[in-house]
Amino acid sequence: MAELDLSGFTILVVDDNNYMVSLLRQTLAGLGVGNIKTFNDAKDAIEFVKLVGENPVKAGAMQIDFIVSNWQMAPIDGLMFLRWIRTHKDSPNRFIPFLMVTGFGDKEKVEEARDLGVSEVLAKPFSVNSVADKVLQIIGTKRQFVQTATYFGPDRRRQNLPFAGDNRRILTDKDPQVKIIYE
Amino acid sequence: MNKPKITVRFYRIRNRLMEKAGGIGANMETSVFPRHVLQETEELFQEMISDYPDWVQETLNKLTALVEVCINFEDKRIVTYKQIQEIAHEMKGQGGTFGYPLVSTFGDSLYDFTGPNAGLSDSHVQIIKAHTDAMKATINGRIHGDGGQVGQELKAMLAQAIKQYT
Repeated sequence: MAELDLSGFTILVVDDNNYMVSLLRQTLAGLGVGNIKTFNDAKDAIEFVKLVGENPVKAGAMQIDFIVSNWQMAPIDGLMFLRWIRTHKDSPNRFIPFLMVTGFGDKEKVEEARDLGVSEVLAKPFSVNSVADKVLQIIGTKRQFVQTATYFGPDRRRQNLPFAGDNRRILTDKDPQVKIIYE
Repeated sequence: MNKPKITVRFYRIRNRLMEKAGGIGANMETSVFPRHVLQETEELFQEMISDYPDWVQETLNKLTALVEVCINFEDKRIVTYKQIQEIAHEMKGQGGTFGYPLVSTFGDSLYDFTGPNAGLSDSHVQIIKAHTDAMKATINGRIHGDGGQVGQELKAMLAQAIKQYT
């Protein structure tokens, strides 16, 4: 097995609770993350994300590898922050992985985050192992991004499983209404 | 003939993070965090969460003050419930993380009792107060895990308060 080394990573952590920020920072630092930028307010985090896009030298980070944000915050909560990252014209990287931390465990809430383009959801209460698992998912995923009139974000279908509802994915890669963008 | 309008775009962009973390050819199946890294982080984590009872006092004080507002100002109950519910939600998430699952249990129940359809009567406020008292007792008594007999007594006390005021 190869050992992961996150010393070259820059991660953004946002939570309005100082203690949780500290706990997440220490956990991620323990896992080897080299550069962790923390914010108590999503507004400040957004300003930083913009600064990294505009002037990485001034920001002290060439890029942000992924974002870890609490869901329930004020005045801008995690969902609004995620929406900004995925859809706002000023967002410098709409593809950036976004890990949402939340105590909301019910299916409806998780689906709400999924439909705004969240990459992974970390449920509270969390542990070192659950954080490590989510980080591994974030860095190891090969999901494509999907853009339609109503959605932009990672492919919400992680597996090709049979389901009871209507098949809404009727277009294939070969249909002229579908465009595939490769890097 | 006009070309059909593009309605779906698939972005198949390489995720370079795994390569950055594990080198060329690394993938999820063959890459792990070093065992010693996980162990050391766990030790650090346990050390940090031992400070939780001290740190959470501020939140408990805020919760107590909000309950006092509900007791003394009937017209402010709706707005204050919302603030209490937000704290209850946080406590629910924190409790388990920091080794106080009873706090999560009480926080979960408090969250439900301060929801949009929550009762606004004095009796209902007393139930809310009983929840906050149970959380404070759990934290201040350092009642870890299920709390054994003390934990059962706290749960019974809360259940009794709910029964009495409902």
